[in-house]
Amino acid sequence: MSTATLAEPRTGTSTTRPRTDPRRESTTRTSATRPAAKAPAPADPRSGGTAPFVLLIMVLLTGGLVATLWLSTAAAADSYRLDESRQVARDLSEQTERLHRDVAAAQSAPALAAAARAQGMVPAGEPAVLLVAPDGSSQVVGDPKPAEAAAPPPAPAAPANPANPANPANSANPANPGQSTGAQAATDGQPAPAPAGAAAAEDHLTAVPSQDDDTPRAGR
Amino acid sequence: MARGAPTLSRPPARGPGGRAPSGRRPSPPPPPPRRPARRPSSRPPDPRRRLRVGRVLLVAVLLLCTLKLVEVQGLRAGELSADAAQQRTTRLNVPAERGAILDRYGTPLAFSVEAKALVANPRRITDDWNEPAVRAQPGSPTPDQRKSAIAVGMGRILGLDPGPIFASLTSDRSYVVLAPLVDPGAARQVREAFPEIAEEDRESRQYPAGDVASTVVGSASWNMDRQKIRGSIGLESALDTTLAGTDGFRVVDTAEGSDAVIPGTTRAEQPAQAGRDVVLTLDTDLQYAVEQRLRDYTAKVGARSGSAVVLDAHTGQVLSMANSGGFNPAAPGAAGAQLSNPSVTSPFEPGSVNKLVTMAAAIENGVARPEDVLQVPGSIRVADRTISDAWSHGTINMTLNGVLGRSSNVGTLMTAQRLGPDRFNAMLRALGIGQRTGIELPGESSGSVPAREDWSGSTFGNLPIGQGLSMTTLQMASMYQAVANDGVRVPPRVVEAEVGGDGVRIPSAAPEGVRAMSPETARTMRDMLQSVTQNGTGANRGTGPAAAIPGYPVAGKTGTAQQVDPGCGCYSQSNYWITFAGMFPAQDPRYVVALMLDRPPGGDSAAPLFHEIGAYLAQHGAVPVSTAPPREVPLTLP
Repeated sequence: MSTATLAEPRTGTSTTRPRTDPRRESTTRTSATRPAAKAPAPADPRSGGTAPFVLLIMVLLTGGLVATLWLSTAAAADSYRLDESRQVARDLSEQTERLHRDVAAAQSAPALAAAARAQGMVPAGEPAVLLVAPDGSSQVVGDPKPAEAAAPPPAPAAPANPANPANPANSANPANPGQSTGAQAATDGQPAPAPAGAAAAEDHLTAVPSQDDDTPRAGR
Repeated sequence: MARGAPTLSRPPARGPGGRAPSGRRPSPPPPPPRRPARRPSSRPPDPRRRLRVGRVLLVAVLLLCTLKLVEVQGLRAGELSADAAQQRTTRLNVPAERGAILDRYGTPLAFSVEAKALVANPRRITDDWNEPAVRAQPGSPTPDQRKSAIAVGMGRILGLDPGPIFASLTSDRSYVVLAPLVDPGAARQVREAFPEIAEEDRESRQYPAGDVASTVVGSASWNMDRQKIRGSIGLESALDTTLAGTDGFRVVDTAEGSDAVIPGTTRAEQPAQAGRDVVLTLDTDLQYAVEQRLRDYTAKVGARSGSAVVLDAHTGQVLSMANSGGFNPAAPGAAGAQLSNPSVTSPFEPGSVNKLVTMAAAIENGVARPEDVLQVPGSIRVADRTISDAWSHGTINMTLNGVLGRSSNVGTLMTAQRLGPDRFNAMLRALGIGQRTGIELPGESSGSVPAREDWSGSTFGNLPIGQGLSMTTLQMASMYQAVANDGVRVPPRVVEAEVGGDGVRIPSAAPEGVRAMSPETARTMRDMLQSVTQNGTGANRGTGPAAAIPGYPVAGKTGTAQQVDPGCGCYSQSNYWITFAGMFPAQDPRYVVALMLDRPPGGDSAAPLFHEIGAYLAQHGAVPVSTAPPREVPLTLP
C-alpha cells in the first residue's frame, strides 16, 4: 500500500524534478550569458533582484520624507519672514498715509497763513507794477505802499484738521532774511520788474516776493 | 483559525509522503494512515457556507451604505450642503476707498485715510474678571480696576482723556465705541496691551483745508447702518455715488465661530471699485483769500452774512464760492456752524445790479445808445407807484452811461418803458434769471421771477430796478458772465473732471452756452459798466469808484435792494441787500465777481470788497496791467 502510495508521489516527484532541473540549468545559462548583456529583462526575482529594488524604494521614501520635512520647515520659516515683511509693509504704508495726511494739512492755505503769521509775516498790500517799455523806459502802475503789520487778519475760524502747522512751515519758508529785503523793495516801489502784474508773491499773506514762497506749491 | 489554516493554505512543509493529494481526495478509501483519517472528523463546517454568510453580511452592509448614500447625496443633499455652506462660507465685504475731492490744481480738499474704531463689551469684561478662577488668583484686579487700567492706558496711547473712556467701559452695555477714529498703528498698540478691546474698520475723512470751501465741499462721515462713509452735506452728498465707488466681496470659508479665513478657500471674488476722485474748478488759495476778505468785510460793516462768487469769465467755471459762514467739516455739528451754501441756496432781491437787463435789452434792440441823453425827472410814476432816485434832484440831463453809472431808477424805468415788458422779459430769461444754473451743488434755488402773464402794472416798475424778483449770488455772477463772455452765458459749473481709479481723467461735459446778446452789445455794456467805477468829479462820478483797481479797468454795477419787512409786508426802509457784480479787465475780462451782503446796518457799499478781491485776483492770476488812462465819459450834462 505504502509502496503504491509512494509510487504515485514518486512519479509526481519525478515529474517535478525534471522541472527543477531545467530551471537550474536556465539560471546557470543566464549567468553564463550575462556577459552578453542580455540579462535584465527576464531577471529572476530569486536571483537577488529584489534587494536593490527594496533598497531603491526605501531610499526614495526616505528621500521623499526628508525632502518633505525640509520643504515644510523652509515654508514655515518663509512664512515667518513673509509675515514679518507684511508687517513692515503695512507699517510703512500706514506711515505713508500719515505723512500724506500731515503734508496735506501743513500745505493747506490756512496752515500756511498761520505759519506765516507765526513768523511775523503780514499780508502784502496791493503791489505796484513796473512796466518796462521796449525802449527801456519804465513806468510805475499803482501806488506802492509798505505792508502794514498793524492789522493782521483774524485767524481763520478753523485751522486744518490735526496738523501742527508750525513745523512744516518752517521748512517751507526758510526765508526770514528775505522778509526785510522784500519789505524794502515794496517801500521802494519796485516790487518786481515783471510787466505782468505778478509782482508780489503768490500767497497774499507773504510780505515777501521771495522765491521761497513758492516751495510748498511747486509744480503749479 | 489555527486549525483551519492547514486546509486553506499550504500545509506546513513536510516530507513528500505527507502531501495533500490524499487529504484532498478521500477517494482512495483504504484505512487509516494517521492524518487523513483525523481530518474529515475534525473538519469545520463547509467554508463555502462561511463565505456565503460573509458575503451576505458584506452585501447587507454595502446596501445600508448605499441607502445612506442615496439619502445623504440625493434626498437631503440640498439641505445638508446648505447647512455646511452656512457653517463655513462667509461673504466678506471688500470696502471701496472713497475718492478724494481736489481743487483745480490737485490740492486735496477732502480725502480718506484708513482708520479703526476701538470697541469693547463692558459686560463681558466684568464677567471675565469676576470669574471665580480669576478671582482666586491673588492680586488679580477687580473688573473696575481693570477697566480703569484700560482707560488710562488707552488715554496714554491715544492721547485722549481717559474719563469718557472709563465712563463707557463701566456702563452696563454689551457694545461701546471707545474711540471712533484711531490711527491703525495706535489701534494695534491698544489691542496688544488690552486684549479686551476689539477694533473695527473705519474710514476717516480728512479735510486738510479745514473750513476753507467747507460750504461747497461739504462733509462725509461714517454711517453705522451702511458700514460705509457717506456724504451728508455739500458735494460730498451730491456726488456720493461717484465718490463712494462700489464695494467688492469675497466668498471664503472661515473656521466656525471666528473670522479666520481658511487659506485657499476663496470661491468667488469681486474686487472693490474705488470711488472716483472729483476735481473741482475751485482754486483753494483764491478761495481762502476770498473767504478771508469776505469775512473781514462782513464783520467790518456789520452785515449779517455775505457771499461771494468768482467765475472764470470765459468758461463760467466757479473759481471761488465763499460764504461768510462756514463749518469745520471734521465736526459739522459744532455750535455756530453754517452748513448750507447760501451762494446757491438763498435768493435775494438784487437791486440795481439788475439794471443790466434793461440796458442790455435796450442796446441789443436798438432802443437806446450809451450816448443818448435822457431828461430824467426826480421821480416817475409807474401804474400806481411813484419811484424816485436814490438822491433827490429835479429834471436833469443824463446820458445812458450816466443812468447806469449813477444808478438812476427813473432813467432806467424811462428806458424800460421804451423797451417794453416783453423784450425786457426775454432778456431776463436769456440771462438765466428765474432758472437754476444746473451747478452740481445740492439745494440750488432758481430764484423767482413772476411769470409774464402775472405781471401787474407796477411789476414793470419794480423788475427793471431789481426789486420784486430774486436771484442767487451765483445767478448774479452768471448774468454778468454773459456780458464778460461777449454775450454767451455759459452756465457755471464747479466740477471740472472726475479721475477714475486707473488715473483716467474724465472731463465733465461742458455746458451749452446760451447767447443772451450780440458781441457788440456785450462790448457796449462793458464800456457802459465802466461808468459805475468812474471816479469823476461831482455829477460825473459813478456809484462804485471804490471798486476800481489801479491798472485794471473795472466794469461792474452796484446794487441796493430793500428787504421785505415781514411785520408790515412792505419794503423796509432800513434793511438792505447790498450787491455788487463786476468784471475786469473791462476790455477782455478774465474774472467775474459777484458779491452780496445781507443787511449791513450802515448800508455800506460792496464796492470796496470788490476792490480787495479784484486786487488779489489781479496778482494771483498775473493779469497784465493796462496803462491806458481810465475811461471817462460824461454822465450828466448841464
